[in-house]
Amino acid sequence: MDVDDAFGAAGTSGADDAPSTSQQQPDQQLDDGFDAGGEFQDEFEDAEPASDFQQLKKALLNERLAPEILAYQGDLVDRVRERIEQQEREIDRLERDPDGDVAQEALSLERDRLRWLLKSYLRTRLGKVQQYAALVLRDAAGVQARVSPQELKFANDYFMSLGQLYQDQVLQHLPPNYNSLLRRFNGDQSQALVEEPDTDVFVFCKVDRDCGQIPDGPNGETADVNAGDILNIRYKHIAHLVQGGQVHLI
Amino acid sequence: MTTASANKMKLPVAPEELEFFAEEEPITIIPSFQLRHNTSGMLSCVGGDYGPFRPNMPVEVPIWLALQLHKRGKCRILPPAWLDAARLQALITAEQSDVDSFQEVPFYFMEVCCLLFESAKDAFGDSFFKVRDLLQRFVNIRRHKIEEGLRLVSQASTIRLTNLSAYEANLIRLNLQGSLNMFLKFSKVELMLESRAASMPTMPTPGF
Repeated sequence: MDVDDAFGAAGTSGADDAPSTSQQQPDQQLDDGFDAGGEFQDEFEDAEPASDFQQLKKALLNERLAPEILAYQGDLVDRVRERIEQQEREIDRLERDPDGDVAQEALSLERDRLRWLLKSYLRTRLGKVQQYAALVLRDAAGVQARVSPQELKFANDYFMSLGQLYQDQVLQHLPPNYNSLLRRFNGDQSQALVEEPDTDVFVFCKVDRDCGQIPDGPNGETADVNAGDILNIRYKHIAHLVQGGQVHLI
Repeated sequence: MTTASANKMKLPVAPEELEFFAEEEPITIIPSFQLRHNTSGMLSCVGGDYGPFRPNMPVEVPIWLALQLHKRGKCRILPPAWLDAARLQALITAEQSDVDSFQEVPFYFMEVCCLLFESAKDAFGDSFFKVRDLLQRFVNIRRHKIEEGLRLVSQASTIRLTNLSAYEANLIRLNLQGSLNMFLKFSKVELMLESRAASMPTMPTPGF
């Protein structure tokens, strides 16, 4: 989502991206181009580099407003968790300090705010993982590469429980041709009963960095995408820019 | 009642959440206290280091911190520069004369105003009611402009809404995006029917 993350994804959290190298080719290129342009980032941010709060806010809004599941911001989440713990220790220390009451109150409030934001982000993702659980499990190359191991486990558990419930309550009473959820699940693309997000919907987006002209529409229409613009545009035309961090949804 | 709450449920971003985000915006306060828990008088938060806090020395902090200190009677809040009767009057004039675009305002201006009007009235002194009325007028003009714009939307195409604020985007989100998505569906069906009509004559009529 932001420069730090692009660097982070290439460095520390390789494990998350590793299984998908073949499928992630376009994303990889995006990231690379993104890194190269990273030094210009400050020019378009409001004076100072975005704080973790701002980054997490953008991640939350993107996740909330995008129809599909976006890449998990693992580094950002870990960093924020670490900062919350760090502030926790500082708050403990201030509690014992007779002069620390003002500072302690302020830090506690900020910790609560960050914690709420983090929870919101994770919960929004879980909601989507639940909605598209079958897709997460089925589309190993695409969607699965974007969820965290915990989310994958959640999708698996959820789908299993749901399948069990359907089996016990309904499917076992149906004729053999219709009594398997898995046949549908494993069937070919056109037959599979797997809900997919509709990426052909309109979203509001705000542009953080100039992207020049992007294709917009089936008849060769294009749209100018310049920093500061607010556009109401079809999600699928800017999906790659959202992933790359050039635009964010509002 | 039920429809209103149902609509609220469907908003992907709740107004309360926008207010939460707006609380991160910077604002200037004049503290009446000194921080003594460390020598520098600085407060190191996750969002950055704020301070130093010294009596009567203006300092920039996020709104959540300003409101908390204000609640404890530990600071005076200075309203943002743009939230001032003269500036608002100028904004209103500009907004009225420029029919095609929106004037530039802070993205969370509505939320910031609501927070301050609610919790820090004294920041405005005597001009509180004047500022509030001017803001109301400004918001109404923009809203009228948005509604006029919505009337012109007749097909599923990209719309440029530069300088639209968070509150206004949320206001028209369901309406605008709902209709555009519906237009899109219609145009897809139309396209399908057309292509089917075009391929019809070449098909051999069954039975002959």
